[in-house]
Amino acid sequence: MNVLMIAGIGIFITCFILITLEKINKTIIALLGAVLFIILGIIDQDTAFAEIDWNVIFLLIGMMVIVGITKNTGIFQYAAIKTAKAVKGEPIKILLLFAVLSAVFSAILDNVTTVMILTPVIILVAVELGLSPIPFVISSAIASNIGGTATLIGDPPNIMIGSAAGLGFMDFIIYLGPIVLINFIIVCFIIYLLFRKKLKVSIERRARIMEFDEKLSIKDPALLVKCLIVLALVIIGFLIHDKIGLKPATIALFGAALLMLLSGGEEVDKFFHEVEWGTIFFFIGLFILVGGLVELGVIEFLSISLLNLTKGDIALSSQLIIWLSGVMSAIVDNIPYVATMIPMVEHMGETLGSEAIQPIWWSLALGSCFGGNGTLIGASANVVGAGIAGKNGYKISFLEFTKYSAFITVITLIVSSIYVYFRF
Amino acid sequence: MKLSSLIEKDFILVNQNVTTREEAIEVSLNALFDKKRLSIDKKRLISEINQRDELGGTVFPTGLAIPHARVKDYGDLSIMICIPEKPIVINDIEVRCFVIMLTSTAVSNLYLQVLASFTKLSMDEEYFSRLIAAKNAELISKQLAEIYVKKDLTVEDLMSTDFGTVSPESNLKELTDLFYLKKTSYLPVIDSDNRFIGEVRINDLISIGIPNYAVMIGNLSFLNSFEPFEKLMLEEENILVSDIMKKSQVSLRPEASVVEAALELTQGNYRHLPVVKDGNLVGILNIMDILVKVLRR
Repeated sequence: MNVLMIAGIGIFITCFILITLEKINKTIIALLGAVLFIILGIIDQDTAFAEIDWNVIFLLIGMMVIVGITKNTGIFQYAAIKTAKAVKGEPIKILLLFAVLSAVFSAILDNVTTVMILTPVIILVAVELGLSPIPFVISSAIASNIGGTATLIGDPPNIMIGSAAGLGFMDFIIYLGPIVLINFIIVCFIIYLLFRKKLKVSIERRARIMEFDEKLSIKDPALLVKCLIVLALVIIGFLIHDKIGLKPATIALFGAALLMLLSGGEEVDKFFHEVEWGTIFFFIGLFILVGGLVELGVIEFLSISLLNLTKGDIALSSQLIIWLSGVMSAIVDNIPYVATMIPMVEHMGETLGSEAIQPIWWSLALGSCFGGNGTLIGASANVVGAGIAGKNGYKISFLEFTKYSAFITVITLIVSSIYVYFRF
Repeated sequence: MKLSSLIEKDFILVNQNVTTREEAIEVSLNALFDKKRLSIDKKRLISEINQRDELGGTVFPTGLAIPHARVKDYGDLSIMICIPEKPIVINDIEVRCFVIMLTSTAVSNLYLQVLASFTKLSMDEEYFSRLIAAKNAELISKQLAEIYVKKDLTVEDLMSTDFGTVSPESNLKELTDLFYLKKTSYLPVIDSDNRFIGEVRINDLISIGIPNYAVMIGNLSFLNSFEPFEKLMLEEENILVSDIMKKSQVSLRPEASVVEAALELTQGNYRHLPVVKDGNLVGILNIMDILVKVLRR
């Protein structure tokens, strides 16, 4: 180990801790760390920029534009209210169906966006029913983390893993879809058992829900039609992208450009305001930081250690990765965690063969996505959901959230372990 | 510059035997036309002055009337003073002094400053009585020499110094009453040591009535039966001004120019801004002040 290596590891671990503590904005930390790596000569600028996975960056940007325009049409509120009315305002059904909505939306949108859109409506419905919104908010956040695991675009770790491992949209649905569905059904059952006794409401309260006129939440029907057409095209594009030889980022950018054109492309800046530039630059910073670790040989060292530990046994490695990722994601931000793990798994692939390590990729995705539910701070969706509830006077403490979510996480990880063991 | 240097002695008419506002304007314009060769018709001037008077705000409770007009292509600033023998009653006010002013349509700071100076001097009752009691034009001119007119109009000239304030310990019920009574939508928050610590706008009060989740949904048109002010009504005695007040983000200096004030008001979409000097609140500028005291004066 030389001085540069120690400095590099020191900076990386400091960044990791600071990102986890959330006292300073994580984008600033990641960028500062990345630039320090370049200044210190750990990685030169050209290599650093080449380390950025542009497929991930442009997929994120494209989806942010599409979702940003679509969410303003009110379609998601429409769906939520329609759902609540469809079950005649019956609370336990609403609770479960809102979980279903959160999971389905999260498979297409990113989890944080889903929670940001749905939580306010969920609180409104709960308040109108005269119930505490807390069970609804917790269930929705947990469901969104589970639903997001099912697709390539559902959760940032999946986007990164798919891009790095060359796994397509359909691969995620085929390999992760079944386990996500099984886990989701189990989670719904748990939610039902946990909360059903707390949800008793009067007929009068339920009638208030029936008074809502969901049609009025659609402000611009013409725009909505355009959004739905583009969204459908993009999803079809994702489903067949491997067959037509295109990468997901191209599909997303095509959709974004088309939707901007259709929705009156004069003020293009307005659409780009929908992009969360902070998140984008967080990814850019992380890619450079992790690239620096690769340059230093740290990643190689770790992956060899892991291989020695498991003696190259794929099944054992997969189990190790599921549980390591589950625990790590519950404590630290799963995005930098996965960003660090990716080159490690890639390196293992060089030894074991890239086909052979596929189960490890899936294990990484399952562990890090489900692990996010481990604690309140394990996933951004949890933090955002609890934050919105808190702002409305319904404080959800770390322990309150975690006592439900940790239990659910352990169950989902056990089921995933069994699935990976038998499937691959 | 001295106010006296803007008014020619020939245009100061004392002890005038006039009994109506119209007569006062007539004699003043006669003096003007005697002295100056004007290409403008006298009737047109009178009609312009009358039009402006119809908008109101030219007669002050202090006993001063300022019939004035902005006339296209006038190209000068003319000020005539007419002091009637006996006060003339206009709108229940005993008018003791007329100041007739004419200028061109372009907004001139000087013109506004002169207007401001006259309204201000009329508030000083002792000075004002002495002025109108003067025997001749010479004496009046001498007295007016004591008044200095600033060339530039500043926030200080427009702001109101008579404003309501609220204490941070007041509850929302008291705050709502105060907004209602003062007919304002802005109140500065002043603590017990008389320090300016924040401000409340009516938006801050009303938004309490809309829950945060409703704000986040953004579009509430689908709600037919929602009662927005439930929380506000229930808790108006428990929520304090200090809970909803905001730190003043933008304030104006008294010496700030009108254009600076206009910029701050329009950029921030404010209706009121505090005027602060050395950390102390000295006035409130209402966006209506710009309309009333600059655009339509």
